[in-house]
This record gives sequence, structure tokens and C-alpha cells, in this order.
Amino acid sequence: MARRQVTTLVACLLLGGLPGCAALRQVASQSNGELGQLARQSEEAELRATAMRKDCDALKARAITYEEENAFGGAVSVDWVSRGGGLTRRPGARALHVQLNKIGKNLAAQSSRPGLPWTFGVLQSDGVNAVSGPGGYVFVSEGLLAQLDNEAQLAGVLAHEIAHITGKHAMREYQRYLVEQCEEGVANERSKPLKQFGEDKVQEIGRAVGGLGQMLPSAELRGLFNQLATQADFDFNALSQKAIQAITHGVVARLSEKGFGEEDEYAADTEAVELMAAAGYAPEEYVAFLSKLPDKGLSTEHPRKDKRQSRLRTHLAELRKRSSDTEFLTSVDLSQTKVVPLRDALQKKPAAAPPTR
Amino acid sequence: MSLEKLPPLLALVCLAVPGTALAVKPGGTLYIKAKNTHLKASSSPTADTLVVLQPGKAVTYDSREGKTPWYKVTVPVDKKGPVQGFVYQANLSVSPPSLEVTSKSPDKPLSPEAFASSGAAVKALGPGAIAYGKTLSRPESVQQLIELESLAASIDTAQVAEYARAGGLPEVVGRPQVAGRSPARKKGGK
Repeated sequence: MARRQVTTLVACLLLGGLPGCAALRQVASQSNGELGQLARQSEEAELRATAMRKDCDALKARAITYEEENAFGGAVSVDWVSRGGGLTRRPGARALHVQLNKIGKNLAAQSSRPGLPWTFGVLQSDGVNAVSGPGGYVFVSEGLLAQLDNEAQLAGVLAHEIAHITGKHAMREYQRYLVEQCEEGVANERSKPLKQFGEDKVQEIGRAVGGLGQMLPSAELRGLFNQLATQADFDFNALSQKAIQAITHGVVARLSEKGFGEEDEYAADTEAVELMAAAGYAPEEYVAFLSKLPDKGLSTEHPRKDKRQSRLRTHLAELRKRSSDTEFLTSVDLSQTKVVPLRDALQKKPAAAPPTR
Repeated sequence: MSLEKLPPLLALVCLAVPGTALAVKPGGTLYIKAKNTHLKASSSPTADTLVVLQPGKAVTYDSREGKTPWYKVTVPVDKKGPVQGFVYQANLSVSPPSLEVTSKSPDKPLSPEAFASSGAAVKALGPGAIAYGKTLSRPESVQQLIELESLAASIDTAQVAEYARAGGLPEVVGRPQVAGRSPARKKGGK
């Protein structure tokens, strides 16, 4: 086969779907030698990639069950606990957890997902942060508790994390991650014959596949995406340990690095002040507390604090305007809210950590 | 643009524009938001509870009690007829809570009440999460989280309500039972 045809065939394998590529592959596959073998392998790879492509498309439209959310959320949450230094062991930790769960459950019961089995915990971390796991897990750090002036501020932080769960923000990241990994898997299937052909004969074999493609054999990867695409009752717990590890680590790493989208953060803020007000807490306390949050902590990089505060003040001003003697406009009645002082176990603040150098 | 397309478009605009309120007029439908919402005999937190309602229950909005956060509503409770009473503003919503998709009925999402009784909401850290947790730098996190879940599950709505009351907050999440008398039927109710 002429050098020009070799180059064209390689381009076909790299890019796939070019007009005339299928015909060229067919002709080449009938020839003997290395190139014929490459063409035959590429035909098989193309079939696998096409089937996987369909699974990727189906993956985008699937509905995730609560069981899958809960199973994945458990894995994410145990990761957060580990990254946060474990759960608090300070004196009175049990009483603190009981109190935190009373506050959190009161807020969550008024959210759009009141039936989730909500769990609230304190991480040992000295950083000022809060994180959440799908399915109903919310954590705040000891460092955050040390910064509180009152219970309303804590309620605001918990409500913000509750809103990430009810809004399924992490589940959207999970879904996006799986779709991206699936699409990379398709590209990897297509380029696999070239990799086997040898890099000395190919200048460029396409971008390297990371994430799941590095952790799982390609047959398992294809099987995983096929299950996700076709099984309405997909069981996350039934995946191999490597698959659970790769998916959970991949999503948590992404959340740690990039955080949620800016709009998800604003939506969680808005929902937080409304949940606070519904429970009777003064939402202005949460707006004020945002000043104490670092720009980046255990998990996510949030939008600028002053921008969040400004948007929240505008939203609260709009809520104050919503009043009618006859029509029902909102669950929120800001005139009924109050600042609740720190009480019980929350009064016993852990010593603030010394500044790090 | 055809007129038929206008209402859904307006609804979309309302959802898309932050702060845009959906208004429900008397006679319209509102939904119960919080667990164990108490339908009271009068517009006071200390009034008798007629019925305890659960999230997602549709009620008919009758009127507002002046400028108070209490709304008179009518609830279809059972076959005997509707009950009229008062619900705290924070417990009402213009839209129903989210439905939950479960593996037992993936094509038929469940209301919060059906979800609660389906058994799906009974959480325990799954085998996948446990195995994953043991590979982390602090494998003891698995046991810590299991114990925390158990503690959280032991806290019921009565304790939550009691804690709120002690802090001077409204008991938005009420106790699960009706204390005392039987429900008063709405005038004209069957």
C-alpha cells in the first residue's frame, strides 16, 4: 500500500467517520501484512466504538434512581470524612452530633426532598468549610463551628449544603463525569488499533485517556457504560471495587478542584436563605457569615463572597416586597425570623487552630 | 405565536427569572411542604391540631388570616369529607415537593409520602462505599460514618420539634400525632 494511503488510513483511524474511510478500511483489510491487520482491527474497534457511542447517548438521558444516588453519595461522603480528618472526637462529640442533626433535620424537612434520610456530621478539619454528599449527607468542619456567632449562621451553612443535595448538583457532576468518560472510552476504542500498530509508525495517536480508562480494562469499561445506559435499576454497589474507586475519586477530585458551577452556588444560597426563614432563622446572619468563609477550602472554590452577598441581599429585598392579603405568594415570611444564640453543645467551641505558616 | 403556547412559556419565564413569584388565589391549590404539618383549629401555634399532614398533600387555599403567617385551607382527609383549618405559612408551597425515582418503580416516581413508606429511604452505608472507604487514608472513616448514620436515624420529628420550640422557633416540623379531640368537619362537608 502506498505511503499516502497509509497516512490516510491512519487519519481515518484517528478521526473516524471521514467520508471514504470505511471503504478504505475495507480495501486495506483485505491486504496482507501489518497494515491489513491494522485495518481489520480498526474495523472491529469501530464496531465496538459505535455500540459504545450509543450507550453514551443513552447515558445522557437516563434517570438516576435514589438507590444509585444513595450508594454513590455514601462513597463520596466517606471520602469527605477521610479528607476532613475523620469525624470530630472533641469532648461531647455525641451531644454535638445530636444537636447538629436536630438543626439540620428541621431545615431539611422543609426542603423539596423532605423524605431523604438526612445525616449531619462534624469533621475534625480546622479549615472553615462545609461539604455534602448526594442522598442526604452534610458535614461541617470544627474550624467552621469555631467561627460561628449564633445558630442562625450554622443553619444557613447547613441549608446551603441541603440545597446542593435537593438540587442534585453533585449528581449532575457525576452524570457529566460518566458521559465524558464514556466519550473518552469511544475515542480510546477507535485509537486502540493504532496504539497496537506502534507509535513509531504513527506520529500522533490522539489524546491520552485518563480517569476510568486508566483504571479499568476496556471490556469492563464497555460493560459498565452498557449497564448504565440500559439498566433502569443500575446497582452502583454491584460494580467492581476498582470501578467504584475510579468513579468516586474522579468526581470528588473534580469537585475539590473546580467545585460546583457558579449558578449552582447561587441557587444553593437562594434556597438556603428561604429554608432558614421557613424555619424561623434570620437569613441576614448567613449573608454576614459568608464573609468568614475562605475562597477555597476542603472542597470547593466558590464564587466571590461579595458577589454572593450582593445577590442574596437583592433576593431578600424581593422577598420582603412579596406580600398580599389575599394571594399566597411564598412560604417565606421574613417578619417572623430571629437570631438564635449558640446553645447546648454548640456553646463549647473547640480552640481555634493556630495560623499555619 | 399561538395563544396555546403562551401559558407554558410564561411558566418557564417565571421559573427562569429569579424572584418571580407564582401567586395562588383563594380556591387554588397549595401543597404541604414539611413533615408532620399540623392543621390547626385556629390561627395559633397552641391551637388544637385537627390533622397531621405529610409533604406533597394538596390542599385548597381558602383565605389568609389578616396579615398573620396563617392560612385557612381545606383538606380532603378521608372518605367522610374535607376538613378546614389553619396551616403555618412556612409549611405551604405553591409547588409540590420533588418526586423520587426508585429502582423498584423507575418509570413511576414516588411522592415524598409514598417514598417514605417504600422502605427505600432507610439508609445505611452501602457495600460499595464501605469497600471504597477502606482504601482511603483514614479507613476508620467508614465505621465513624456508620455510627453517625445510626445516631441521625435515632432522632425523630418530636425531638426536632422540641428543639425548635426551646429556641423560640416555630414548630414547622410537628410531632407525628394529633393530641386529643377528633377532627372538626368543614361545614357542608359530607
